[in-house]
Amino acid sequence: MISPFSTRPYVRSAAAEIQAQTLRSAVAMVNGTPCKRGLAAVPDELFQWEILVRLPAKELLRCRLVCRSWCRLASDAHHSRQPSLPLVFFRAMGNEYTAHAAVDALDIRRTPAARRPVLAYEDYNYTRRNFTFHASCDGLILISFTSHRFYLCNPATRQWCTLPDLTGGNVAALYPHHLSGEYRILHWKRPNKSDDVVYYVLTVGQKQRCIGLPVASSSMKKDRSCWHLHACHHPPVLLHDCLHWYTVNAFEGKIVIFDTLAESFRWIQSPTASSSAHLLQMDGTLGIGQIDVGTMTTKAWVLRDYKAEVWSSKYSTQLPESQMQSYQMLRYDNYVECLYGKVVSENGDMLLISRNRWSQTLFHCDSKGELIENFVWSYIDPKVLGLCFKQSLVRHVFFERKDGKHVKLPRFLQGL
Amino acid sequence: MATREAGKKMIMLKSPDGMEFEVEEAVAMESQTIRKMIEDDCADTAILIPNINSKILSRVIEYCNKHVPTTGATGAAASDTVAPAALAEDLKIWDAEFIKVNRATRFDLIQAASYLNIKGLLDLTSQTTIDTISDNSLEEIRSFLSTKNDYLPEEEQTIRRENQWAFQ
Repeated sequence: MISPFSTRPYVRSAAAEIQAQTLRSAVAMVNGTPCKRGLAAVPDELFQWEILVRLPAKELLRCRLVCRSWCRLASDAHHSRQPSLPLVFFRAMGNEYTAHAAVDALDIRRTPAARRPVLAYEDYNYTRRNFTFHASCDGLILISFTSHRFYLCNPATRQWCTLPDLTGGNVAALYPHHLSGEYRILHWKRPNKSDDVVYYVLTVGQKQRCIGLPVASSSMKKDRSCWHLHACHHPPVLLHDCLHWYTVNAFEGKIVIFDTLAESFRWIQSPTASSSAHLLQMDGTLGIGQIDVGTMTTKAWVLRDYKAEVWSSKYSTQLPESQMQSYQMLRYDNYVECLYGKVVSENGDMLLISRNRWSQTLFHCDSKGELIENFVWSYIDPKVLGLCFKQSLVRHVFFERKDGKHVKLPRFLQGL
Repeated sequence: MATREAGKKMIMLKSPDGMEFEVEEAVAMESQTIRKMIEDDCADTAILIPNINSKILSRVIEYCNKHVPTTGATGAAASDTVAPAALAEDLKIWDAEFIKVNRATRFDLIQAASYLNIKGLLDLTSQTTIDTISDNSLEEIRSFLSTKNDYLPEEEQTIRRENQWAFQ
């Protein structure tokens, strides 16, 4: 099965999958079956794997009208065959009154990388130009605006709803509840501005439940900073029905774990305590990526033995500093205001952003530290969100309005 | 560009219609399927490619010949930052010419690229088909695929209603 974080290996596994079918059809050809031209010239599976899977949602939906067999090809298990692609937020600079903002899924399996639009809108609010991308899960996106209005939407089906219960809350995770098939949102509030943290579970389309702060031992409660879990800063990784966040306080790195079935928290030690580290799924288990721009090195660990909590090093590599420097002056140049990056795929590919006064550069490097591609923009401010998007055409009941009214699309979907 | 030097290993590829193609190992290894065979020592001097006819196989080899890294393992030209860009541009133009083939050949190429697992060729051929789908009306797609609309009018309406925005 395809792992949600795979990028290039996906292509290989896909090709491997169809090899069997291709071979079968080849046998048919050799046995004298004449090869019809048209659709029959390419086996259905090949069409599904290689062509339809690459189509943007709109085109794919249109293709369902071609004929019945195409409707099946364009619907069956489409979601599971979609790649999980890193999200990049782009905001145009230079205009005081309006700024074009867009979130794209970057298909870095291809060179040049293809930009697949996920959200796009015009941002008119200059003074409080703010937009938070909280979570992405199974093609669903959870976002909020400065108005504290929270939206859950699926850009591929243009379905959406607002989540008034989340107002004033801090989103820790959006996840599928394995047993019920529901989508749930874990969020927290600080009642009366106290230091205490109270967690809530909101099942999308239903009422929220307060679960307090269920921890394995009461001593854990004392470490308050651990419980301020923000999905937008430290996107959680869902594995074995548990959500995992990387947190760092003082000199200690921890992985906070929330069991989505038992609904309780615990934590384990992290092999690193760097503030630049982040979690991702690697080798079918938990991985940590860490890009240190001071030494220009990248390290990655994987949790080899989940139960025994044994971490091992996945790779350690030097970033192609001189090459990156030739595209944009780094480190020693005063004008470089910012350089940061994230490991964004299962095979260790990285996206790095360097910013100076005049331009922004996005670098794509592989796990060996080879520079694959670089993109230079003027007047566009890109941000690697550290989240992945996996397009889905699955329609959800919770998006359907009970009053059956047709309402205007929210502005972040209008610009697509 | 490096020409055939002494010591360069050659591989024989055979198509089912009996044609034989002698290619450099590095060129053949652009195909991940063949690379795996060679690395696993499953390949003798000749490899039979079971389901790709000689016409398509020769085109695939032409593609691999063009796309095999010219610097080889030494990476001598890698430090030169200007050349790769120019080279990439040159390859793009070459690719655009290469893919100017009829539909049947293109579908055969997709199948060959998929079987031989040549990522670049697969990207190129499937992208061209995607462009065809994106740029044409439903009726044109049907004629391109030699297929007919077999929906009842009501069924078609239901699909349109479900995803109205996609048809606007």
